[in-house]
Amino acid sequence: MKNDHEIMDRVRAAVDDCTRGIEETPSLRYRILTQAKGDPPMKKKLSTVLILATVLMLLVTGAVAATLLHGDILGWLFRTDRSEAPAEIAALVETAGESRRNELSALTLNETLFDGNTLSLSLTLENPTDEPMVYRIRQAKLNGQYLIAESVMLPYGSSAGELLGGEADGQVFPKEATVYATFTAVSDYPDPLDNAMGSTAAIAAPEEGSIPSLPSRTALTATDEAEFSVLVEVFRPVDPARLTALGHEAFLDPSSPATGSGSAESRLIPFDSATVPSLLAQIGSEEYTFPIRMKTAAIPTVSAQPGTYENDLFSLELDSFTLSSVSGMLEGCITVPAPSAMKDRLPEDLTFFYAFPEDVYEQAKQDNSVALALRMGNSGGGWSNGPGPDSPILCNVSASFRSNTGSLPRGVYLVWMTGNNGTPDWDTAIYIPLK
Amino acid sequence: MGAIQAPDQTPLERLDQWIQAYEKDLLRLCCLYLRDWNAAEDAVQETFLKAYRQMDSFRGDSHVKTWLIRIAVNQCRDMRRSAWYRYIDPRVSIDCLPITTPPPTADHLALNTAIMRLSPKYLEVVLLYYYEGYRMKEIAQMLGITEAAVSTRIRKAKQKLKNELEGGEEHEK
Repeated sequence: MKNDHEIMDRVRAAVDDCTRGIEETPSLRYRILTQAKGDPPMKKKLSTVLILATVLMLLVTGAVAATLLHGDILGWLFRTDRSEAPAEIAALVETAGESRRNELSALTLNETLFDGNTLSLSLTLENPTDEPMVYRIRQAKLNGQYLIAESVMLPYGSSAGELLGGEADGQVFPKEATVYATFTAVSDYPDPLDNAMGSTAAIAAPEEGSIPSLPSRTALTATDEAEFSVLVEVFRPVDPARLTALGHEAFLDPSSPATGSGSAESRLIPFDSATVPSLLAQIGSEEYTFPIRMKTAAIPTVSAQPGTYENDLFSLELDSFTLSSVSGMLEGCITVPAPSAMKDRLPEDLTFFYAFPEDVYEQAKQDNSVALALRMGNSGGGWSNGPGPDSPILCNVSASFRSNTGSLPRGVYLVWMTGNNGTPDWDTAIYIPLK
Repeated sequence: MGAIQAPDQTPLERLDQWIQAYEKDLLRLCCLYLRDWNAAEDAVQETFLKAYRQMDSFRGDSHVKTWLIRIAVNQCRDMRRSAWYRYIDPRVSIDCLPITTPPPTADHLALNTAIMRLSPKYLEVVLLYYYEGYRMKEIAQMLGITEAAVSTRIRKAKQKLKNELEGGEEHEK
């Protein structure tokens, strides 16, 4: 039997030879972009703070005013074409504008937003040197406890870092980047996202025969004085001549003499114990600390009455459905088993559903579009029709939603898909009132 | 500029960037998985749309392509389980792939057909391990299984491919 490398070469040669007729399909690209455009637009918009900062910029020169322009945390959170964030949300934005730096890195805390549930921050990372450096931000903490992230933008986390400064293939890379992050809790143990080389050592191994306990997590609470800190690691490319550019992304070519791998394909090098020493040399790290304030805020929530809901085709036992307005966005969760046929049979291929706030339902139905539906987040379970028309396989479906409409609806319509074309079957609509 | 979009790049621009960079790779993967060109295009379309919808939850703890492949594999799995897929001609042939000139060699054709005949759980690891070059740990994370399971499937897939090429065992449907 051939070894893995020989098999790999043979498989690649065979697949490449048989699939070399596959080319990019302009019509497919067009279809994808056209359908994506039907989703709520995610244009960056000017936040109240940014508008004010722009005005200040015209009147005042200096680093403080320039720093304010790097914020726009509401722009990241909302990403809509709305002209402004809800006033109650804009009022929660705290502008810090504080900077910390050493000879290898500089970090500015631009804005923070605490909505009573999640803490969102905007940070700007800068390379103050004259050579290209790779940066990674890790181990965000609040008052010494690890923060658990809900969503982040690189270079936060355990994998690829951000290349700042330098140039490749004639493209000059900026020396700074803005990082956004939203955290939902604190814990005694690092965020699994932050589980980089060696950080697992922080988690103590359970005693033999004992059941390991799950790391505890504590919800974030309002406070007038808190300390936010984050670790900035700095790496110098071992061979800067091997930097390559692909579109807007920079890569370190693994065929660098430092690795001797011989591979001609450029790819982003993930941070792990094997690749970092060969391509990147860590030359510094610094924990930067900033004072922040987390104002008190109440989270408005609406929910549905558990029970039976129905349309002309089937009935549904709703277990739970809640929606909360968090930082002006709707977040929710629904748990519902498979529908039960009311007439002779369920529609075939009753697969999954969309949720439409009642104020947009008629427009969505008229457009026959899902663009205005609540955006489905994590979901689990599912159901499918069994061998007979009245023998569905029952599973629980739970799903979370996110929407940037910001306003809590008085009700939602659940509309199912039938078939695999991805469009809703409006005859399956079930109305769920919320209060 | 580093590994992520600039803050002023719109999500649609980012999506277009991804399509241009990875559409061909995903079409190849989905075509080999689903054995049907039209189905593969549908799978790729849905993969990119799902990625677009989940763009703000992408944590960047893996390369974009890795993340897209994970979505694509799940999409292919769902499609193979769907009622519609039951009507796809189950005979495995290279006819689902675009014609190439000159045609592939007999050896390459035999091996590629053997790969396409593998059941999904073996096909996945063969494509991800031997073709894409992912490590077992990465494949385990992508498929939601243990590294030991990945290793076992690779070993069994290797055995099945050996048998296919040398004749003997019936191929799996």
